[in-house]
Amino acid sequence: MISTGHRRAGLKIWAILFCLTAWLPGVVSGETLSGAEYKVKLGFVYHFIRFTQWPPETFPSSDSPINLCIASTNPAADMLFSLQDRVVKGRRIDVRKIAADESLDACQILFIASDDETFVAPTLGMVRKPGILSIGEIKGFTRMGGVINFFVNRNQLRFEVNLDAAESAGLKFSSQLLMSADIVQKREE
Amino acid sequence: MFQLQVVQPSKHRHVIRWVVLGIILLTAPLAGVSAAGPADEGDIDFTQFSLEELKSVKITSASKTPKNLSEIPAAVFVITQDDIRRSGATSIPEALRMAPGVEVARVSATEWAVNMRDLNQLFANKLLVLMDGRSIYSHLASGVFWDIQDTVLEDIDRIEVIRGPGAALWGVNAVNGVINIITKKAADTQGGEVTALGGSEEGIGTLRYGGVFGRDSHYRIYAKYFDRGSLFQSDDPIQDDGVNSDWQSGRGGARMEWKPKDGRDSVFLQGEVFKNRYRAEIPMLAPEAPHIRQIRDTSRAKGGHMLSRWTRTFSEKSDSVLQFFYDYYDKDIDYANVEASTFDLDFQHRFPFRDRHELVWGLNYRLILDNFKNSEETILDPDAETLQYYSAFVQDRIRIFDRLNLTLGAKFEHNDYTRWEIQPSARLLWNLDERHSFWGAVSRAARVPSRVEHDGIVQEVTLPDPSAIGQVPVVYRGMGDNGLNAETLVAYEAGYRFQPASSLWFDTTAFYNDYEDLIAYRYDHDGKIEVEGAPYVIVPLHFDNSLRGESFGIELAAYWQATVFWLLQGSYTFLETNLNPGLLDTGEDETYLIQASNPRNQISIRSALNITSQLELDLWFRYVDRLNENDVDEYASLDARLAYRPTDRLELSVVGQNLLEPRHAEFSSIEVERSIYLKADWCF
Repeated sequence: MISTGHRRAGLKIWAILFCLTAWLPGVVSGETLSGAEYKVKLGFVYHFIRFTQWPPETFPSSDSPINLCIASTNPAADMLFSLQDRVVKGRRIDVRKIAADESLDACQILFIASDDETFVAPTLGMVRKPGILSIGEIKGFTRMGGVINFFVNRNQLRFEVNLDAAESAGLKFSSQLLMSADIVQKREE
Repeated sequence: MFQLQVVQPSKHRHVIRWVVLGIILLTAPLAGVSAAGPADEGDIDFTQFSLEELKSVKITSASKTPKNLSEIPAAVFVITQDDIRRSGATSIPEALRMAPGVEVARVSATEWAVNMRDLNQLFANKLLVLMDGRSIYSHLASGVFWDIQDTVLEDIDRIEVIRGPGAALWGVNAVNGVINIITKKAADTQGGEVTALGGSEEGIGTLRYGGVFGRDSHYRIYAKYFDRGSLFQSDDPIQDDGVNSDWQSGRGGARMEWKPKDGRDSVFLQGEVFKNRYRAEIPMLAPEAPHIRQIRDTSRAKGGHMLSRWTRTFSEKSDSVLQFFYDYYDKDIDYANVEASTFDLDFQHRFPFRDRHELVWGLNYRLILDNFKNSEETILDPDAETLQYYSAFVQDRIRIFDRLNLTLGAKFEHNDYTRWEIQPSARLLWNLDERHSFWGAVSRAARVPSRVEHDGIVQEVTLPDPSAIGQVPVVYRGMGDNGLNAETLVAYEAGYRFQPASSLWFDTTAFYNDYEDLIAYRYDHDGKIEVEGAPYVIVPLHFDNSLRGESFGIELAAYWQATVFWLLQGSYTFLETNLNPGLLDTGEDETYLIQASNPRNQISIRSALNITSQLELDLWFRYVDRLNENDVDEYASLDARLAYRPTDRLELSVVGQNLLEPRHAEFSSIEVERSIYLKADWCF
């Protein structure tokens, strides 16, 4: 057996180290910011709305709201409800949840918050008319015909844009959005 | 090993001090963190950030989605890739220590005893273990040869630990639980990754490269090599334990997935080969006193597997899976050797029915061919055997009300030893609201006798008392019985999950297991055989089904994302096992012998702290109660990991394991040492 004195010394060093590091975050947390996944996505979605131009016939009147529809298998996505009643470009945002088989005709934005392909593919298939900005968070979403897709790189959010899908939906993006997109799928010649 | 030893007074006070210290240490940062700046992201409005600023924000997401867990009427715990990385564990059994209710004890350098809800032993025969859907439970000794099961830990996606009988879905031998080790899809391991790890106990190197071919296919190839030294041996001479050391293992494999665009089919292929060797010391009878010699030998193993799976998706709630695998291993067992080939064909189909039923049904056929090279100590008769298993299962999940689900299932399985085994289960889940859910279950499960219990003659040489010179060695000769029944269990479980906030959840389970027909060695007191002229006595032992038993326990798990950069996870396990007639001499003329024991209490607390975006500190405190039957003291341990990520592609870490004591025993007199290692992980 090794003497307890020796053992205790080793432990003390660990204890001191640990308690020291406990104070570090208070000092250094300014240099890197982190946030819950959907809180950050909410920020992105807000800007997507700002930088997207819908076809004029999308809105019944000049003051009708922008309908943000959420189809999710992830309850954390309910965070997006905090965009309710925010005003963008003179229009109020109206957030609603979409149940399975519900019509998407009233939606201007459809956020499919799920990484379950068997849920995402049929939901995206429900998009039957132009003027809907579909946003996803699953690999291959733009290949399925989705317009904007989130992906994660080293714990940071990135997004890709499918210009073909945007064009067939009649959506136009401002350059700020396209410059921040990591991948822009151009029209195939 | 069979001897019952005098239980020594425990060192409780010493351990309690460690427990208290551990808790104080782990909760100390609370004071610091709560005082930290924007710890609570609740007051950040990310709509005020520009797109470019948003791209630099690190996101945190609960790695275990309690929501999905709250839908499962069983005691499930998921060990994620992130958990494995941050735990510092360097092997699969070590990673399993993170799950509540699981007992993991290092038996020797190459052996672990892993079990749950029951006495733990080297081959925990009532625990089923799968890797990517391939059973790695050996029919030979009924258990897992942990020395030949491994993979690149960085490529593991998650390990699902399901406590309690999974027999209605998984079939025989899933009695106490099922562990499913699932590796990542090839699409998620694109590019290269090299890891190098070196330290006082082991050296490990891995290489993985993933790429694309064609439009719709991803692949990865990987290789891994490790060299592990010996564990420390305590001062007592060891009679029954070969000291395994200089353990070297190499393995390589490939995986490919094909998933055509817009197609409903996907195909996945995987293959692997491995080669292992370690130095072992085997006790042998010797003509001169003390009549036991340790003979040095190199123990070798090699093998591999191929697996293919075809999934067809009909809709979100309906799919079918056809899977085939072939697995082969050739492994030395002391001076004996076993070769076993397994062919397994499995079909499953899931579909909704009306609008209240979700049905799953399936069929399975398995063929095992083995070939055993007998030695003096281990004889199987017949030495080559062909075993067939076929089974069908059906399970229906019925939505009674919106928040109340009943799952009924049964598996019907035929095997060559005990014929038909029927294993039904009923599970009820009640989601009270978003925050509370309750579940309860009653199930029956069976374990089929192993090849050794059925056909074996196994001899073990021991000295009755290691300190006694001049004692005559005893040879225990365990004899199999081909009339054995399956061991059966009826399990009663109840669980409650509570999620008071999105960052905090609790999972509690209580269970009662009622075992019948347990297989154990029966020892007749007047059965000693004196062999004419031989310097030893033979004690014959016969396997039979006459043991009954019960176990009951409580398992708690807690998960708390205290701040965006600090995660705390804890678990507590209480387990009591009683066998009847017990292991002690009953005063009758027979005694039952089982080499098994479990800790009554276990505690695990893990802290994962992101000091900066480039610096991580992880601490893992564990307390494991004493093993009464094995006379192994309780121990407390602390692992610490500090990792630095200078770029996104490189991670350097230093890990110290078992820091509280220079060495401690976990299962036998062989001890695990304090150790340290350095690791580099580079992605390209």
